[in-house]
Amino acid sequence: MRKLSLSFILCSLLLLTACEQSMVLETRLDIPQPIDTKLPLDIAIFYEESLREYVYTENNDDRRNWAITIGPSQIAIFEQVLPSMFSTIETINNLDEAKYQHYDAVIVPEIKDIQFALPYETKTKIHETWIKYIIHIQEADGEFITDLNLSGYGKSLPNTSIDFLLDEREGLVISTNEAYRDLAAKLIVSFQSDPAINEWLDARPK
Amino acid sequence: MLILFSRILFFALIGLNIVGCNTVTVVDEHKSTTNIQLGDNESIVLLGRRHLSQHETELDYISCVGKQLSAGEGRLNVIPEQQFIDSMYPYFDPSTAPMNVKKLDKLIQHPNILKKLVDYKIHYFIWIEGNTKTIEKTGAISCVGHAGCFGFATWQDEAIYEAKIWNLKNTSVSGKIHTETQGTSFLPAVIIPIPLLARVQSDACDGMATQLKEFLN
Repeated sequence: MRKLSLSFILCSLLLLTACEQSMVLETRLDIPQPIDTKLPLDIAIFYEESLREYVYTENNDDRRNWAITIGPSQIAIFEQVLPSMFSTIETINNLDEAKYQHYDAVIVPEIKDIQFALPYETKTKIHETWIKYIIHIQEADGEFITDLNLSGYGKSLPNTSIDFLLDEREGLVISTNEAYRDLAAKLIVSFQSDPAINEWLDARPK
Repeated sequence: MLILFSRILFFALIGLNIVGCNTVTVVDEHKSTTNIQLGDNESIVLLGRRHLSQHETELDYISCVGKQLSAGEGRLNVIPEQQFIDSMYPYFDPSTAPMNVKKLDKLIQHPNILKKLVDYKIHYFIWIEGNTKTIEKTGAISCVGHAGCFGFATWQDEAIYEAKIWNLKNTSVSGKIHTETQGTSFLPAVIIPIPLLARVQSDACDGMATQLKEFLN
């Protein structure tokens, strides 16, 4: 019985130590409402499961048990931004669904990379986040239109970046939010200026 | 001995305060048009350039110039930077903002973007580019346990800023203002370090705000 109690205490201590070093975080993103510059298009968006449930994980000596859940909040960003860009926007559950509807195009976002830098790693006082996406754009029947390669960069203000774990989280949330703000801005502007999209728009029957 | 040392330190600090911590500001102005005036209800917006992460214009510098322009004699109606950028999202964010008047002209072709700018009653955009940085450091301070710190350090800061004034009414560049400020700060330490700081960035802010007020009044 005594042995069992001792083991229980040791296990609890180990768990507590592990929890202290881990970084389990769910980002909540908040960007301004974009100005409406709608293109006269009916668009479908398809979020793959890998994107919906995206969790950034890392486990090494410097970053012990990192798990940053980004999936739900990035979907929220797309759902906030896309209605300001197109006449209508609908979410579909699979690409085949689009074939039987009158969508002008289908958007499929894919997350390619995400990187974080902490103040002690870069010898700066800021947290930084880089994200990289490919936005696949195709016609409803699957015909390729273009792939937009977009990246977003964000950093925290220096005063949020002190070396305590609580502020580490706050710094990462701020820098990730800024990175998504940058990415969403580029997504909106790209749709108005990308040569391949403009060519496709010009070729469409009026 | 300690009294003599304290006196030497006292006079040295006064001497340093007189010769040091001074800043020198040079302002250069170029007006493209002579008739630059702001109507009674019209506004300006001050925006910092931040498209290169290593050379970003500081938020507090823009805020300082904005505060000075909106106060005192000849005060101007200045729209706060962050409020403007958020309400115009995504068209004035660091990576998407127009880099020249031609791009601004293209941007305002969209009726919703133009309407927002008209609602703000903006006549002039003032883009400020530049920053304050330390260009030279010498000396050293060492601290030994509870005995205190000893030594002498000095550094020179340089603030270089350029404001470009865009006229929204005819989408043209109305003028440019360039300011350069330099100053040296000192940190003597005899037991306690006593910083004697040069107000480089705030003097650059004063210089820029004064010149912009003259320019727009």
